[in-house]
Amino acid sequence: MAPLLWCVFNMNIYILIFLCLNFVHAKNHDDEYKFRPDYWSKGLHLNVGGGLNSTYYDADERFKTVAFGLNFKTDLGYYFTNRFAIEWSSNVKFNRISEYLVWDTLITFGLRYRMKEYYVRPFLGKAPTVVFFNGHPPAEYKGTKASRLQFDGPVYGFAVGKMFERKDGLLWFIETSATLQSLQEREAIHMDGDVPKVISRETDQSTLVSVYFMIGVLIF
Amino acid sequence: MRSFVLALFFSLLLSCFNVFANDHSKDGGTFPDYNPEGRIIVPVKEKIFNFGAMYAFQWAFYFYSQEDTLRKEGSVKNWYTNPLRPRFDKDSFDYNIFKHSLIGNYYYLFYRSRHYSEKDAFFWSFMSSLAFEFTIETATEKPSYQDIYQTPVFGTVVGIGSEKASNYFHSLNTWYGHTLGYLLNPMTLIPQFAREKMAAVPILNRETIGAFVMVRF
Repeated sequence: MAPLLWCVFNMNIYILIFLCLNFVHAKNHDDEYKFRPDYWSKGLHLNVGGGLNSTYYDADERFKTVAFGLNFKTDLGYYFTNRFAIEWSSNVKFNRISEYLVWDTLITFGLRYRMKEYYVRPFLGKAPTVVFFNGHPPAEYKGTKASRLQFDGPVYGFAVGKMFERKDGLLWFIETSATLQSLQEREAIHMDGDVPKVISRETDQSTLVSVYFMIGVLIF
Repeated sequence: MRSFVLALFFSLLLSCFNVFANDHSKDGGTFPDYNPEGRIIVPVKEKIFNFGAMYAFQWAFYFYSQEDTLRKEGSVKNWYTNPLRPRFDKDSFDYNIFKHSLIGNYYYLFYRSRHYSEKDAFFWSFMSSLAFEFTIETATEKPSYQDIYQTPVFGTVVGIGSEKASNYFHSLNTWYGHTLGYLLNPMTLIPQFAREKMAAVPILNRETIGAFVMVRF
């Protein structure tokens, strides 16, 4: 009986999320007018962009280095007024530090505020950072099955951008941003077939500071 | 045998689309002009059917592709306790970025093929992705924050590109153009839009991935 009740409870949570999103979505149809760089239309909007990043790694006092790489981001926003929006964003960045590939996924919530064609975006969230050994594990992981490390911790950031409109109506933007990541936990991962297994878990005190330059478009 | 059952399932599902098909000539027409301009209002009956069809496909695909993982990691207890424990997953980027974007792309293209607007197709892709994360995949793992966001959002971005590229290749009106068009947007094979009365259903095997292609004379 208890599993059945638990199951019904969980399904209700899903149905609640479903109804809430449907309400936001339905509201979205009320406010369709043309989005301009200096006058935002209300409702759901998606920005997509990509560019370059430079990241300073201060890893537990074991190494300090600067790396350069590519990144791409998406900002899914609900625009409440022609100046103000809340956003749920993902920024995926890749860097290479000697033989290691570093992959970050910054999942953040933020605000977007417009001043003429310019906008600012403060945001915060969590950012799993994965370091792939590529066959060269660090000394402390030699002899283990670990093929990569996954770090976890909060991320804080701020972005400034400007939107433009092309003659054919395409809306595009340029944006520069900075983020601070505080890595607080480190897990060694071993792949058991398709399933990742955590084989060790430790605390960490690394810090990542990144700056980004991106260009992108408003998809809808 | 499993391939046959799955093909039969898809055949029945696809044939149902004809039953629910309305006259879309005002909003895009049938395949040669495949360009599903979105309708402002999609009837509720169709919304339920389309979401249900996608949900049935998700269950079928999950049982079929994750048989080993289900046997090793799956349980009924997981299925009903995991939904309340979402977390950041430990998967690699080949899963989190490429495979999930590809799946999200198919969600988006499916709803577009049913004449949803871009925003509506995105919204229903999001709902289908949530349904998979919270009510299907929980048999083996907890919902993943990365997947909840990236599957529909990245999938929509890829889907918008796939749809435009597919339309371009089909417009070349050459055999290789149509082949590329079908590969980029397999939803153009759904009977309602199918060119020259042709349709296809996917075949999924651990060794092979393919399709049954059917031509009606």
